Amino acid sequence: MAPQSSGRPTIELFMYSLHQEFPEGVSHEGFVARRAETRDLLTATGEKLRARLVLDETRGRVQNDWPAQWLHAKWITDHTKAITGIWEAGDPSPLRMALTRSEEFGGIVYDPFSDKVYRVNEPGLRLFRALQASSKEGGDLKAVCPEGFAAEDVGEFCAFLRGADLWER
Amino acid sequence: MGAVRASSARLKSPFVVCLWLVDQCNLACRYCYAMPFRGAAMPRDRMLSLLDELVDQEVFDVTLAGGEPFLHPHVLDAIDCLLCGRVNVGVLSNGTLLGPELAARLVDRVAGREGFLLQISLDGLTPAVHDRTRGCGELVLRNLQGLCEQTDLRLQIATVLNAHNIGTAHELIDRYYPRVKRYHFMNLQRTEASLHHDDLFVSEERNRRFWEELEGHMRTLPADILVTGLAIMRLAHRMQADPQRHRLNSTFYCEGCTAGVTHVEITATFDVLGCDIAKDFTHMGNVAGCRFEEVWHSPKAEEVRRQPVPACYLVRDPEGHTLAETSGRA
Repeated sequence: MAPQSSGRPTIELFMYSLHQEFPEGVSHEGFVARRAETRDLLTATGEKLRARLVLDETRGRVQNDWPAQWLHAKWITDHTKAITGIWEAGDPSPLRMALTRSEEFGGIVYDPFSDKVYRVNEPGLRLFRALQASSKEGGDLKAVCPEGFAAEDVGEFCAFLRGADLWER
Repeated sequence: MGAVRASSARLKSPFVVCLWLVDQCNLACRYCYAMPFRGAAMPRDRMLSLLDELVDQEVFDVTLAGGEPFLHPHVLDAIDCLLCGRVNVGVLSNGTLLGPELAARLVDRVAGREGFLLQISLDGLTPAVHDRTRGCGELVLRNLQGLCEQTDLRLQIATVLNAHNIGTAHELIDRYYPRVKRYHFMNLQRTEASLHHDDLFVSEERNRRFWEELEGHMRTLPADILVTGLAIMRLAHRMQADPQRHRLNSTFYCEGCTAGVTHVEITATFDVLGCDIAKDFTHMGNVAGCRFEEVWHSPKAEEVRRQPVPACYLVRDPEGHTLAETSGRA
């Protein structure tokens, strides 16, 4: 009997930063409009990603700009409210150090190195946790293909993780 | 399977929770934004049951703050509870109470467990500089020295940049590295308290120069030092950086904060707030008598999350203007 299908695992970027992003619908329009620009980026997996980056030189100045000062100060303060980057422990693997949790829609994967948050579906969460467990045990990640997953889907999922640098180093 | 910005899916709980264990402090820092204190402390039983709820909800990080959290008689139980539940714990302390005895008890609770960080606020290398803003400098420096030498606790030093330390604050890294690898430099916030002390503020130009010099200083130091906030200020001031060398500090593709969506604050009287500075505009409910989950999914919490402008837009600046007004979103 063929193993039961787990469904296709999916993963996508959910938040650019755990600490510094407004939710959709409550965007920081006035601030960003003056200081951000939209750029088309190419991810390591070859996918196009349109991103708003706050980095333009002329619009990024904070001198004599009270809102900018206020917000920068607040963002920095927020960074003390979380300690998820446990990179000091001597383990340089983002895959091993990533934090996961389940959600109604599947789950969340948080990469404390990049501060990025990813959203996965339920099969994606299971697959990520299987990869993480194998990594912690020192196993061969290329050989990880939990029962019920198609090798092609696992390969694609792993390619995303490598592209996102959410992998062993 | 594309890397796209996802819609705002409903989360079962926040990622990060900050608990103000006590509403009291043994210092009165000149720029404090938590004051005025009213003396409350979380009752032990409800505090621990609330922490159990946060563990069950798979919150990633819990920060224990105050006031001074070590004034709470059961702070060690709180740390224990969270670490047992495999939740990361950060404690933000002024360092005055962490003498040898309390430090040893803390080490006993934390020993062998990952995910604990102790932040000590230190504004200067000498008591004189520290005391210009905070007080008890000699004691804090002595306790910090003890923590460095007598314990293996993961430490972070937090420094508020002001006119009295901005020329020397970066030397804290030279003094405490490699024992301490995390440094948290903060620009001075315009709080009700700090606005009464003009002598603390530095010009934007001086502030920019600090961050530029720090960036340069970092290039001379090993790459395993984390300076939280450097990425933000690097981009704000358009500084060049070596992305590989400063990999740990280079995360900034962002637009603002996440009040009430991925972060909440819980006060000593169990009020749940979306933001610690825009307190008056982000009250989501109270968990003294009900489960956190009920407040998190309540209409009031949803209202905070769905405000047409971020809560900080409603806070008045020193001239009495709000960001909502100046950005045309009033």
